Order: sequence, then C-alpha cells, then structure tokens
Amino acid sequence: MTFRAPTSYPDGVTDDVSAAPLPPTARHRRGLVNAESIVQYLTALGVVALVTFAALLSKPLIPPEAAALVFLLSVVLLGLFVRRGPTLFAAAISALLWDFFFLPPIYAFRIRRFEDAMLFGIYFVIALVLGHLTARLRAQQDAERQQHRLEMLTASERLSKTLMDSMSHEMRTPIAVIQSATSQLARLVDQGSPESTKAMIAEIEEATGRLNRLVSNVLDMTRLTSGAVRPRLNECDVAEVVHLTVAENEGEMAGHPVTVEISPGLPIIQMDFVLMQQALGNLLSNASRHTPPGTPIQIAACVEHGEMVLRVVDHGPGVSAELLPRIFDKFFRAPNAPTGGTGLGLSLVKGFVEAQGGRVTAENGAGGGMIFSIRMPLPKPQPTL
Amino acid sequence: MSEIATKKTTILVIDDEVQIRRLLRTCLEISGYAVAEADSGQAGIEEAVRCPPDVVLLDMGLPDMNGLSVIKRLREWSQTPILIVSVRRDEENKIAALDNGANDYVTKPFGTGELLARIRVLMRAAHPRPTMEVFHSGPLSVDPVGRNVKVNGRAVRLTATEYSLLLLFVQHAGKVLTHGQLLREIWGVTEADKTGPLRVYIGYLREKIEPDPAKPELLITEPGVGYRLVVNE
Repeated sequence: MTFRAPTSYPDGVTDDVSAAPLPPTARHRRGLVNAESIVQYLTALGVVALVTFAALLSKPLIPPEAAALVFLLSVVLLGLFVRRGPTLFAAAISALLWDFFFLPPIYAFRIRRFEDAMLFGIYFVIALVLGHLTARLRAQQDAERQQHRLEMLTASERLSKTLMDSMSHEMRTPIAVIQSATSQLARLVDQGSPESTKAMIAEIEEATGRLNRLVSNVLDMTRLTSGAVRPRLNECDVAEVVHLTVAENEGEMAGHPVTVEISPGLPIIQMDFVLMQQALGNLLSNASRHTPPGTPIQIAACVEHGEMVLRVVDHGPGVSAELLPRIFDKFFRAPNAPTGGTGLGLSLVKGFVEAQGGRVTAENGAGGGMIFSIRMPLPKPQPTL
Repeated sequence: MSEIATKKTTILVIDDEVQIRRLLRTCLEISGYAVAEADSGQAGIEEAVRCPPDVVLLDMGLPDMNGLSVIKRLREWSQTPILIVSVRRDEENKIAALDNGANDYVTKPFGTGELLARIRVLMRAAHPRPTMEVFHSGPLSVDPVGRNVKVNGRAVRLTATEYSLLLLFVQHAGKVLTHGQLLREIWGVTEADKTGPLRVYIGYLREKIEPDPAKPELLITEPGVGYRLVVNE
C-alpha cells in the first residue's frame, strides 16, 4: 500500500499538495524496515557461518557437545542485537549445521544413534527457547525505552507550558505597570501634583528595569544555547570583578548586610570580565531575592585546592537536598520560591562560568542557607627564562 | 545679536529608529543643542558633509551599513567627535569602533544624564585646554608641570609607570581608554589580551588615589572595554 496523494484531479487541476512531505516519509519508513530485516537475517546467517567455520577449525580439539555450546552462545548473543525472527532463524540453521558437521554420520543430516537424536532434539529446543527469551528481553527493553521517550516528551511539553505561563506573567506585569502609570501621568500633569508624578515615574523606572533584565536573560539564554557566546579570555583581577559587581547590585541587595572578603595576593585569572560579572551578579541577585530581608549575604574570593573560588553565601531557607541537583536547570524554580522570576538566572550562571572553562557548585550551608561557588582554574606557572 | 554668538552646538543623530530619534531630539533640544537627524549610514554621511556637526551620535546597528564603516568613512575627512550608541554584551564592536576613531560610547539603554555628560566631555576634548593646566576631579588634583599629584590636598608618591598611566587618563579625562590603547601607550604591548600588568597597575593607582579603592569613583572600570577617569566638576 502506498500513501501517495493524487497528483492531479479528474478535472485536470494539478494539486500543489502532492509534494507534501508526509507520504514519502511513510514510504521511506516502510522501505527502511524491510531493508533492516534483510540486514538482520543476513547478520544472523553470517554469524552462524562464522561460528561454524571456527568450530570446524577447532573440530579435532573439541567434542561435538562443546561445539553445540559454542553455537548456543552465538545464538544467545545474536538475540541481544537482532529481532526474534532472525534469532529463531539462527537457532534453526545452527541446529541443522551442527547435525551436519558434528553429529555422526558427519556431512549428513541423518542421525544414527538414539542419544545423538536426543542431543539434537535438546539442542534444537534450547536454541529456540534461548533465542526466544533473549529476543523477548530485548523487545521489553525497547518498549521501556519508548515509554521513557514518551515520558520525556510529556515532561518537555509540561516544561514549555510552565515556561509560557511564567514568561507571560513576567512580561505582562511590568508592561501593565508602565501602561497604567503613563495613563495616570497625563492626568497628574493636568492636576499639577508633583509628588504623585514622581511616584509614577519611579514605578515606570522599576518596571522598565525589570523588563530589561528579563529580555537580557532570555537573549543571553538564547545566545548560550545557540553557542553564540564566545568568551574573550583576558587576564583579570578577581577583586576588581567582585567589587564592581557588588557595587552594581547594591540597590537590589539593599536590606541585606553584605560582606566582601578577598584573600590578599590573589593571582591574575584568565577569564571574561563581562561574563564573570554577569555570573556573579546573577548569584547576588538570586541571593537577595530568595532570602528574607535582614539576613546577611557574604561574598568571598580565595584560592582553594588549586582553584580560584568565588563564593556567595546566603542565610535563607536553602533548597532541599533532592532538589539541589536540579538547581542549575533551565526554568527550574524551587517550590517555595517567591513570585517573580523565570528560573533562568542560575542556569545562566552555569552557562557563563562553563563557557570560560570553570564550573559552579551549589550546596546547603551547615547553618542553613545556600553556598554557591564559582571555581576557575589557576593560571599555569609560566616557565621562567 | 551676531550670527556666531547665537550658533548652537549641533548634534547629528544617526539612528534608524524614529522613536529614538524623536526622544533624543527632545532631550537634546531641551539641553540647548541643535539637532540634525539621519535614518541611515549613507544619509548620515551626506548630512555630515552638507552641514558639519559638532558631535555625531551614531547607532552601531544601522540597516544599510555597519557603524564601523560609517566611522571609517567619516574619519577620512572629519575629526568631529563621534559618540557611539551600542548594546551591552557587544564589547568587541565597541572596541573596534574606538580603535577606528570613535571617541566614546554609551550603552543602550542609557539615561539622558549619562548621554549629556558624555557629549560635554567630547565637546571639551574638541577644544582642548592647555595641557599645562592643573587637573581637578573630586579629591584628585594633578599638576603636569610640577609633576605633583594630590588627593585631598595631600601629596601622593607615584612610581614612573603609575604617573604616566595617570597622566594619560588626565589627557583624556572623562573619556574611555581601551585596554589596547593603554597597553600600547604605556607598555608598548600590542597583544590586547595581555591585560595582566594593566590590571595590576590600575589596582596600585586606585590604592593611592581612591578614597575607597574597593569602590572606585575616579578611575572606573568599563567592563570588557577599558577604564575611564571621571571628571567631577
């Protein structure tokens, strides 16, 4: 049966849809299945032929029963790689070949003695059963794999729905704020109330900042996933990165006592200044948004175990141990996370750090709260001339 | 009133987005500038020929030709200060623009205060003061003739390299200097990624001239591009 669509209608009108991609794909799939079967049967035949040849070479050394075991082994192994049909086919022909080459009278299908007939019968049954069992095992594995694939697909559909929900919320909120604030502004100017006017302008500024952050995050994520982030590795001063990033995020971290501790004499590190600034900035913003006001945020830079470590420690609720491995996943948000946010920040941190040849880890602190560590390789010692 | 006395400083805005041009026009005119507009690189170059502006404000993402070629074409015959408007995460482009004759940049989205400050710096640089004059910015004063550097009136001792670095910043006060420009001028190094010594010396300078070296207010970092000596009037 073919799925080809009619290329023209009785009235002679040519149908453009005849080139639709679906029918050729279906035909192709069928053809592929047939070709695959043939290949499998040929493989089975080849393996049996090879084993027969090897067994014939070693015939003077081994008794016919041992040859039978070699044949059985080949059938079982074959069953792991090909479907049931070819496996059973291999079981049958290997039984016949064994009879022909190894059971007296040799080079004949006849069997003279009763015990040989028994051996042949038993071999035939064992080969068939083993072939059947391994094939079934494989089919079961295939089914499980299929099931797994299906589950993954549903999970990713769910993910994209969550993404759409959180994204549309994140985008609509600031836009709504800007819209209503500007419409009120016009009224306020007429009324001449400078205090309220200033308040509206402040709202617009905050909403714009939020929208700008969101768009930057989404664009950065797109760049990371498409491989368009090319780090420009430069010799950088870690203290400079830390101080600048802390200063830039001061507004967001207001309400948290912030301490910065930089070990003296840190080496100059090869990194991308801007990417590292963004990675650290995202960690700081994460810490300030997910911890209660008044809890301290500590930032430290030091050398540990041959690595430069940039650490951000907070004293918030932390993340439960079973969710910890997913914390850097795209769009992942902890169940107790406050409203707002897309779950992109930490995955960007991971992307930015790894693009520079470093890594980032997350763990729960001994006294509660999170510890995020960015780890960068130290410069290789320069050969002294 | 004579024609010369009333002539305002003219700023040519080259940007393809009409809303951005409108906004810039409003904000610049309120601040006392005259504004000319062009919506493409080609139109911008023609306008600059027809009526030479005092400052060019150039968007790097134009539809007809890239900002870099506009800079190169303008620089063939004009030394008019060029202020480029670029987006964040586009440091390579900014550096290329600065190396090809652009004078400074602002990063989108920017506040109008920042834009006006940059324009003022460029206007000043276009009419340079005598280099003998003592430079003042916040607590810092640099006297090029007496080779004196003071912070809050107290003399500061600088090494030869630190002093030449600081003097370079003073000569380009308010303007960004790229890593490449600094490395070339002070160390004669042409590899732009060998920024190690520069980072170290910036650190030393900050220790000596900044009230709080951890939060620099005079010698500020332009991430991924270079450094700028702030002019505090």
